[in-house]
Amino acid sequence: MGYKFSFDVIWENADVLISGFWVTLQITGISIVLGLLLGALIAILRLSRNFVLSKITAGYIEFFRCTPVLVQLVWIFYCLPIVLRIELTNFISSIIALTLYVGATYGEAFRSGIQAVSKDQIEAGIALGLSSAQRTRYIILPQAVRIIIPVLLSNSISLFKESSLVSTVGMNDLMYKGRLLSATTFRPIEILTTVAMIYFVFAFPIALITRKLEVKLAKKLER
Amino acid sequence: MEKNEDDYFIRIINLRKSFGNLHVLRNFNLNVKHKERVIIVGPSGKGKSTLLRCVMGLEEMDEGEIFVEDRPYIISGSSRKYQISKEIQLQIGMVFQSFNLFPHLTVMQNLLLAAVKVRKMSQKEAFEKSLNLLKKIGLEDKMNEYPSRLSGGQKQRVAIARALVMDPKIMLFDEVTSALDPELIKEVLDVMEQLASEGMTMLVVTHEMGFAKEVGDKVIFMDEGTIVEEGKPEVLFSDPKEKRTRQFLSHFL
Repeated sequence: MGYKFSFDVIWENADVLISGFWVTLQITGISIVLGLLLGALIAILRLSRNFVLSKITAGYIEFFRCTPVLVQLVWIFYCLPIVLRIELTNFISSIIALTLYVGATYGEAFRSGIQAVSKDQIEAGIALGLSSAQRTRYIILPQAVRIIIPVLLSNSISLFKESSLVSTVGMNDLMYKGRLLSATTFRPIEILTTVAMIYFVFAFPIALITRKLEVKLAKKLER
Repeated sequence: MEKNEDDYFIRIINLRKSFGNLHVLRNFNLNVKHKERVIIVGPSGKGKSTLLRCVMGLEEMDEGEIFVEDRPYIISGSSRKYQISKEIQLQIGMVFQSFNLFPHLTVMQNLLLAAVKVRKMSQKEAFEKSLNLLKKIGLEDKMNEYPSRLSGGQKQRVAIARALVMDPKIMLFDEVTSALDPELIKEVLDVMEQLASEGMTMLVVTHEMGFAKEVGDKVIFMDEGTIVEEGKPEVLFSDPKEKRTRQFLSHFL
């Protein structure tokens, strides 16, 4: 007597999964937008000539890149309210944690992209009389963007998956709904497989586009 | 007889530059007259490029002064930390060994960028000027191509045109044919020869001795960061006075 797969449970609970996926998209989307702003700021500070600011920023980047996102989430959800004596909903603390995490990875992507533009290019700009702001605007940023975009996309796919961790602080995202349904329907294999498929179907095309874009953009920067 | 300093376009006085303990330039003096073509030859890594880079303002001198048409290039500050005159810097054009075209811009956009943004020409004026220069170097059909689609020789010709759009009064050439395949060198030297024949003041660092003989008004042999010997090309190449010059030139026979 083997296990009988039954995917009926999926159709019966489709609305629950869809509402969970909507929360996942919201949390990921908001964190990406805020993370981009934070990342840009972080890159500017990291590249600033102010030694202290640069080092503090580097510390922030490495801390958030090198510790588990799960711990960051839990820490912000449980400890931040105690430290700051404020109340945070799990939605807000999820956004804060994921933004801080992805801001660090975006910031690092911005920094490395900007620094990847060769010194020769900057010198050619100086020799033509372009001011520092003009060199940044017309020479460095356009080239850096082509290096950075594939990295940002790849970081964003990671964030999309990592966002499933918000279910551990009670956020009712796709993962949370999946676990809830698993417990109530006793069909964890079917449900978690479906949850994984939903993540995959959404992330895989973006991963494909990222690869294509990477090759295409790199070609544009050949000298 | 009183020396007429107005004759000189640029005067470099007592230039000194070191990187850490490495003295790249010392007691370096050079005067270049209007329309004069000065060719600098010498072993690699002995300060020739650094000299051009100091003149272009890409490298800071440790000591020394530069005057362009008797106006000081350094307008404030002292050694190691100083401000150069942007106005004078704009009279200087430079072409690099590695071309340094902007890869994200087409050939035409490479020429237009500084013309429009720095020289404040109108789009139309800058376009016409750029097109004329591209015609002159025989690359007008490439104006919409990206640099990656050009050969090394074509890239370097575009780089020369890009510098010329800015109407420089002196052009610096830093080993501009060293990165090229041998069969592509001539097309670049031809453009430079044409430029010389039109009366451009030029300061050229090169290993092309044929070009030096043909085009140079004055050839300078530089070693260990200073001028060992200088003279008219026909004299310096056929009858060098210094042993080091003879040794160096013997490699090119």
